[in-house]
Amino acid sequence: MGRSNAFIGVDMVAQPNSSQQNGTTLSIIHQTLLILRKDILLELRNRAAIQAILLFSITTLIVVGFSAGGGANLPPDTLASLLWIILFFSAFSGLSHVFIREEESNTAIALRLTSEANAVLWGKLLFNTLLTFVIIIIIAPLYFIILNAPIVQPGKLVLSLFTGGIGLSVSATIIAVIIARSHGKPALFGAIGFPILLPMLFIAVDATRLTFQSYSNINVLNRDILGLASFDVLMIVTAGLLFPYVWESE
Amino acid sequence: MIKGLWWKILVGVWMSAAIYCAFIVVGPAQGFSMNGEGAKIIFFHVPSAWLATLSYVVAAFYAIQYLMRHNIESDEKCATSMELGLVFGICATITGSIFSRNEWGKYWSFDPRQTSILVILLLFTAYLVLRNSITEPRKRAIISSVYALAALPPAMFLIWVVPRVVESLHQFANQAVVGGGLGGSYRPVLYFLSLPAFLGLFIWMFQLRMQYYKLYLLNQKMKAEKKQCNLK
Repeated sequence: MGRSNAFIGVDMVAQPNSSQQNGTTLSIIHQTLLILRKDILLELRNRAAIQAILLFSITTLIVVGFSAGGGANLPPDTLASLLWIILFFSAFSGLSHVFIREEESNTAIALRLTSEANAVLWGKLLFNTLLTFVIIIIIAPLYFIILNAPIVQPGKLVLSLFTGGIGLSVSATIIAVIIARSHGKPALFGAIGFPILLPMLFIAVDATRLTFQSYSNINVLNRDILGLASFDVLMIVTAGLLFPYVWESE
Repeated sequence: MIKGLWWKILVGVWMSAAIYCAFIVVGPAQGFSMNGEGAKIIFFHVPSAWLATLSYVVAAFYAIQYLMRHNIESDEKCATSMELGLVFGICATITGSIFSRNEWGKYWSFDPRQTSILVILLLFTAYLVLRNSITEPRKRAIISSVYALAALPPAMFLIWVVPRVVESLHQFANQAVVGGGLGGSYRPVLYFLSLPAFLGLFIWMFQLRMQYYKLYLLNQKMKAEKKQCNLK
């Protein structure tokens, strides 16, 4: 690796480095990590995506908290669905950034030349998942404090939030590449992603609702979390199969 | 592609037989509204709902075919199937709402089955909107095929899993059809008359739409030739 790490952006992936010198190309895992690193560095440089998402979600949170009357005891159904609506729209306000940025700065073609399609997908996916987790870690506790959520099963709640978060980021990533490759119709992003995410949102809302009730059925809760996890796996496999077709299209 | 006139006449006869049997031959069913006459909508509601599901499967098949062979006609077939799915889905939703109003007093109650058909309709619409927003044929074909396939797992999940896991009013109606709660003549009429008739209608509509596409291509070609003649 050596000094080539000092270069940021696509340059870094394009730089020949030690493991390429002896004739072998970089392994997919290595490429994935490089792309992830590049995206994190770019994000830290101008913080466009995370600022957009955070601003959006905190504004929504304040609006929700204010209109719920501040500390009113909302029923579990409402609490869970409001939380997931906030998370859904904040995720969709910023997760398309990873691919649209590549198209806008015309670096997509360089990325396509230097790294394998699947490495790009996994790199971007990891980045989006990290971003979603950051959002959840910031938003969810604030939400629970503002709305006085009665958390009965904190462990299961965290599990449901994180499995749901993975589903959110995977679906958003595959929709993002579709949108980016169709040459910038960002207005379509939410409309197109919504039907894909709805089944997952149904289960996620149900799981989160059950963690607020002391009398809820633990089997149903476990089934919901398992359902979320299987949806994640399903979408990850679908994304892995379909991504090369969109990414390598002209 | 089925050629000839005979099968179109057959579809007409079959459909007439289905309508005749639905309204005149089959008697009222126990436990439904309007003295049991309310149950008769299933002869039109159930096939529409099945065809909406089937057209998604057909669309997914052609999407896979496009991604493997890259022939633009597969993409057109995929889009045709999606359009027909939207039409049949709307039919199923309307007939379902009428039935729901008569049986349970409300046109719409966000029952899991109703929600899932609504999301399927959204999927069909989202596909068509996405497809119409891109003008270049190759790009449009790839992107819309990939979208159709990316939406396949959630769609199947909605159709097969959600209504069976979450408790719904629809289960009562489902049990009546599948579990044999309805009178003896209901199931044969549904399976052997109404369903094949609707299937024939689907194939006919599909072919008409493909013929329209071929004429459109021919028209484009003639226009291009005319332009070249003018240039010379």
